[in-house]
Amino acid sequence: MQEKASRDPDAPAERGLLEHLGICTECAKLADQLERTWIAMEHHPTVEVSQDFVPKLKARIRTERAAAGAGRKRRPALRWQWAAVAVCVMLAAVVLMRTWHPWNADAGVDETDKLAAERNHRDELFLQNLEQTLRTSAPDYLSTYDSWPGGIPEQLGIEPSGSRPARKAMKKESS
Amino acid sequence: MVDAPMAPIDSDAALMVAFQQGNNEAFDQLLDKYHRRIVNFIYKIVNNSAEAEELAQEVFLRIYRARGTYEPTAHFAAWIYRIATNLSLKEAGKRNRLLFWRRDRNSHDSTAVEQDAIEDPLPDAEHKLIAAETGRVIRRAIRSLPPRERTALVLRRYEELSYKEIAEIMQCTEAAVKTYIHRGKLHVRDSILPYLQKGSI
Repeated sequence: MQEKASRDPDAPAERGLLEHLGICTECAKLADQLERTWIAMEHHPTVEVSQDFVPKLKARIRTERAAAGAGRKRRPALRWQWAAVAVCVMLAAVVLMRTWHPWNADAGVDETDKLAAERNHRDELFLQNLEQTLRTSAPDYLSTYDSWPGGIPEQLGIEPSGSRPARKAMKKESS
Repeated sequence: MVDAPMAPIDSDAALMVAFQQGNNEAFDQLLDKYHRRIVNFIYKIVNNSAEAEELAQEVFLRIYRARGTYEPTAHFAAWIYRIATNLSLKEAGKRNRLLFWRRDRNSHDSTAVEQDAIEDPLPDAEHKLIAAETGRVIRRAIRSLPPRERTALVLRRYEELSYKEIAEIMQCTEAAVKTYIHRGKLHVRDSILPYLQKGSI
């Protein structure tokens, strides 16, 4: 009804529609049903607002206002608390950075292993060179050294059975 | 340089400006004028009177909180309905998701579940109001509409707002509003068609 009333029946489009409804029964039926639907919609029930709606709302507003007031008073104290917490966190961070280097911890272990391996390799080369030199310059030396009473193999409880195996056994023992 | 205060666009906006300037009675006047309308508007969207009151309280609380930032650039009614619409649509969306979930879990008895979820524990006074068959049928038809169609139709039919105002409230174009309303009317017509054909409506 209101929809219909808001239209201007003299407008060209409106006039055309009304003419069409005059000759098309299907559209006229639909228009009639829609109009009756629109009218019937006024029967939708309404609710009575409960008596305590306004007092309840005002109580909520009072609570909110009180909380906002309390919040304003507390704010400087809270700022100091946050500042104190921030200082503590920064101090803790400085102490940790000085004492603990998690980003270097693994790298340190790797570095030590690498250095040890290099040192072993250099020792190995040195001993091989020494052995070679002794073999060429003093062939009797090695056997004398390995079978020397009270020598290193004996001290370590290794049977002197040649230079290389004996030294390998010594290295195994020492590790 | 201080900007000159904006002239209120209508008398309700002027009340809101007065409230902004510390006049609490102005807020009481707005509350008195709008609270029934807002509760009933939300009721038609969420279809539950207790929930409608709760959401209406939230609407007025938001207005109270917004007093510092309010600018009287639009009609006060459009502003308050926009807040109410946003809250109602959010609530309706939540409920739709809940219904979908429950329907999914209880697909064997979806009608009963929907009925159970939507039905409002109505007070006696309200029972009397909806006792009429037509009212019940219309209420059921409107609640079955998709939320945006329902909102546009309710704003047009019951709150008597213009297409332009509804477009402003729903933040869409006037053409979209007309489409929502037309579709909504067709859906309601389909829902009550047996009654229309019988001539009982």
